[in-house]
Amino acid sequence: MGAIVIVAHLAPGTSDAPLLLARAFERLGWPAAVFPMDEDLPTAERVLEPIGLPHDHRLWIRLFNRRLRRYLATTRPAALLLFGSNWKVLPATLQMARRVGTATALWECNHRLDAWFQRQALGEYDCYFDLDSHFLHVARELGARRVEHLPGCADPEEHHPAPVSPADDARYGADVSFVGSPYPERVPFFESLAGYRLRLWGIGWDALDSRRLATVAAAVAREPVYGLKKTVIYRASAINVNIQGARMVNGENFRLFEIAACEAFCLTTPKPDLARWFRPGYDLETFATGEELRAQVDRFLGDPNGRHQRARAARRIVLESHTYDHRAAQVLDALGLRPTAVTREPRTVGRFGTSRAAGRCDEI
Amino acid sequence: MIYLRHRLHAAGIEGIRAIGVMPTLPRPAQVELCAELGAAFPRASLCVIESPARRTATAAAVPAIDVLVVPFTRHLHRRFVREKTPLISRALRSRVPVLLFYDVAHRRTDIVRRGAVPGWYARRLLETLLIAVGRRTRWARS
Repeated sequence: MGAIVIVAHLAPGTSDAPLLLARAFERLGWPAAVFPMDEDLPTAERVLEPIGLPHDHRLWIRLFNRRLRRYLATTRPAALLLFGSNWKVLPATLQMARRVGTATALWECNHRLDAWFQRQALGEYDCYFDLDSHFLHVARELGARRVEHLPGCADPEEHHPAPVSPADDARYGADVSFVGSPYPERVPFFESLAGYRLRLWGIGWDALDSRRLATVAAAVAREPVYGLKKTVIYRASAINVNIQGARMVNGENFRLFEIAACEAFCLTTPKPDLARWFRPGYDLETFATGEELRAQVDRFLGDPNGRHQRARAARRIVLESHTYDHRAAQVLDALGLRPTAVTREPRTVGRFGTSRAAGRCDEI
Repeated sequence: MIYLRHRLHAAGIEGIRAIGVMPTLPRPAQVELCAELGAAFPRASLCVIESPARRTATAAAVPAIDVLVVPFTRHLHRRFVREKTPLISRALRSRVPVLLFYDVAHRRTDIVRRGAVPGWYARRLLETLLIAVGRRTRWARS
């Protein structure tokens, strides 16, 4: 199987990021395989979900680690990369991987450190990557050896300026759209958008208490979104909103880069890392409160040229410096597995300058 | 797009030139799946087998496809299971693998092959039993 194994969830909520990352590794000459945590499960693991066992139940973790250890012992991959978070991998499994010569790494996007094995495992990675610069020093203090900043990215083949047909426009078109989960901090922003053609896509929105949420309840499209559909939604929406979840302190998520790669216009809440990758005011626009969001929506619904200009500039930046190929190259380099010709570290733009490499923790 | 390619590639299904897809009704998730298939395999021809054609679905057409995609919604409707099963059996007899979406909106899938059918059924049956026992046990505990 693969020379690089990526342990990840494959449910639609993950943006297919592990698969896109695997494809990037392959483009760089490293065969890669995804070891899914939620697909093609053996019977023993498959029955646990419908029974209702929580995903962090001991039994589930034990069965998963046994399966992963067997796989590693058989295939002896060059690297084991946990994507998203360490949801289930025990320190003993990481130690076993290193004993058979497999480099270990975590690309942390969800900042899960509440379980004992998640904290203990920090000392077992050859490299710890984080989406959010805030957590780099946290990881180092908790024992991670090598720590690097690895921001989100997009895949130009998956996220591209797809044409929007009249039928697509009728089904997906909106003044303002959002694709994602209904985190509590997001809901008040959308409630402030009464009077606009608003669409909210993703899983979980219909579980909100709709009696107190008139605007949100009317805007919810009760369906998951993935693949081509997501690309078309970004393209069919005049304004795509990005609101970070509370688990992000400084960092930016994948949505921002995906919207930009689709050459679609984005309004986002500002986080400190944003100015490392984009130039707010030139490539995208920001808002911090519901009032500011309404003002920006009013401004840009009346300025289609301004939207297109920013969308084009943002796409250019993503293609230059923020594709999965760039991220895969950084991972390979950090693990001592030489990639080919792609630029190693994400180039920064904006107020931190254009030449500074922001990938390493010590430079932040 | 990447998911469908990954799923078929992981099952060892390569060089796809023709895909058969059996949507239940022109519901959004099923229409989107067809669009997704078209985008993921732009060089493959897509043969959409709609409901009226299923009963008379050509025995000749099935061997000509490289994979049969069967999307079900989360709650399997008996009518659609009854309608789709003969063509699934025909595909498997012709050694055409089947990509079975047992929840198309949430993208839950299985790949079924001819030789694996008895084992697949046995496994599903065992899982159903285990789930029933497991739920009952949890209820008893609570």
